[in-house]
Amino acid sequence: MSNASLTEISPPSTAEPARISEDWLAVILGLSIFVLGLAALVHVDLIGWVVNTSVWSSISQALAPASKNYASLGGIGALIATYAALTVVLSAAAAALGSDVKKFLLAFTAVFWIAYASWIAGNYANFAAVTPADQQKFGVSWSLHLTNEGAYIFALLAGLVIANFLPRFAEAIKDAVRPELYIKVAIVILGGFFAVTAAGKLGFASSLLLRGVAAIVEAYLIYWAVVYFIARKWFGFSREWSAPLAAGISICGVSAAIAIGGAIRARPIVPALVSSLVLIFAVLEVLILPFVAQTWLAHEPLVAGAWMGLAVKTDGAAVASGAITESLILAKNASECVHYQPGWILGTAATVKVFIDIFIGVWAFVLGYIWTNHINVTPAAEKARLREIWERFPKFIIGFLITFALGLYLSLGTPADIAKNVPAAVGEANTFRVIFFILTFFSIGVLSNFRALWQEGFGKLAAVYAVSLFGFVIWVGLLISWIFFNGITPPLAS
Amino acid sequence: MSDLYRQSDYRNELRTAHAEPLLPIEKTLISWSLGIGLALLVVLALVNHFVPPGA
Repeated sequence: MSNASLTEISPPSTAEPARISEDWLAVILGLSIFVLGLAALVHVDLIGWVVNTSVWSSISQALAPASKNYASLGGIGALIATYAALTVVLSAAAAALGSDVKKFLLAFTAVFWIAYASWIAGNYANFAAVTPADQQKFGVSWSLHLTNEGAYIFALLAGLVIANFLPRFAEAIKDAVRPELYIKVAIVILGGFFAVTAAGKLGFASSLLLRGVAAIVEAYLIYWAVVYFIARKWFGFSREWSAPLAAGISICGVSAAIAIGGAIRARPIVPALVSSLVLIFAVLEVLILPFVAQTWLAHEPLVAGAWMGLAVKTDGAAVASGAITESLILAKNASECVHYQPGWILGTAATVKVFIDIFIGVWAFVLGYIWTNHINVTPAAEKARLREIWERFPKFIIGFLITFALGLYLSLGTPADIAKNVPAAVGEANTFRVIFFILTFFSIGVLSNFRALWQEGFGKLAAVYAVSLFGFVIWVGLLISWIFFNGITPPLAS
Repeated sequence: MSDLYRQSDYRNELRTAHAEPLLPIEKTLISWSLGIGLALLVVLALVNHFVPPGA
């Protein structure tokens, strides 16, 4: 997708045509990080210098390299090394995407430091400490109990402040505001992390497939049909507006709106406007639903994870909501002396989302076929072609599947002396995943200018979205998640 | 995007658009989609009930 479509800020500048798609680029970046992490299996620590942030009450506690092999770097050294490495790699990526590298470099510098500073701030003990023992350890008398990963909210809020109060600055850093690229890289890395988590309980992991199929049925056959009907019948939208709008609300936000808009040969402005709406509502969901899940679904962790995957739109917001939900729910259970293994709630949310993504191309073809053969039958209109299924397939999912398969093989198919080191090796790559999540949250915030909601004429689109999302999609998503996941809990941490 | 919003055409279009009646093919699409979707969900729920997640 193009970030151009998301808000009032203009699209990232392009110096020349892209040499590679964002999806394939995410596969290359994610796989590279994952493979570099695996070098630890042969005792070569290539990425242990990446910075890790812990809950802190004194700033000296906050930062450290991910691996003790790089302890001499210190926290600040690790942070600078991480910034330098990401700047080089992502500048090359920007060049491959046809962006102006100099502009990207300057913009990314601002994006990285602001996003990471807000992440560090969110890890302050008064915000993140979870248990009374933690509070005692950090010497604080109160805490918001947001947990370590709750600090994503801080990155999001920092982005929102810039979008809504510093629009010129938002415009200035637009070249590095690429939430879809960041989250796709993170999802590729996440595949390996989830495989290592799932390897311990493979029977359950495989049964997630069944629930993934249910998610596909729900999103495409139930949600889309109902939202399309609401948009057409109750709000009087044309077919051209209703089909992308229904896709944005019901399937996978931005990428679905763009895919369906293209399939029914809508004007490019239609999915672009829908996309901006999707992102704004996704931000609202990220800020609300994880806390709702913590309050009412703390004892049904996987219902909560699946709910995030089904109800929150756009890959970035959905997977990130899964991460926040996981940290909040694990924290609440930890305060009750129940310690679930991390990774399951996030993995469930991501799996549900990936399953939904897989069928975007198929649904786009189905609608494209109906539109070009039965609704807009004009000699000039190009008919839907089967190869569009592949063209619209989100390729980064291939990266997710590769790292998942690789992680599973290394955990289950290698000798014990190798397998025992896999979690640590994948853990280093996973630290990069966290950083890409931070960049995603911040970027989503920067792209969310709420003034767009007040644009004349835009309110009607927002009304369809609000009615469908809060009146139907969220609750049906919760019901289906409950039916398929209630009573199932993650393994207890050893 | 700001350029897009400055163009009032789309806002006017959204505000003043005349309703297009649902075509039979749209009604068929909606009803078949919902029918197949609900039937599949029932089947999957039954499978889920009788084949619990592996330990």
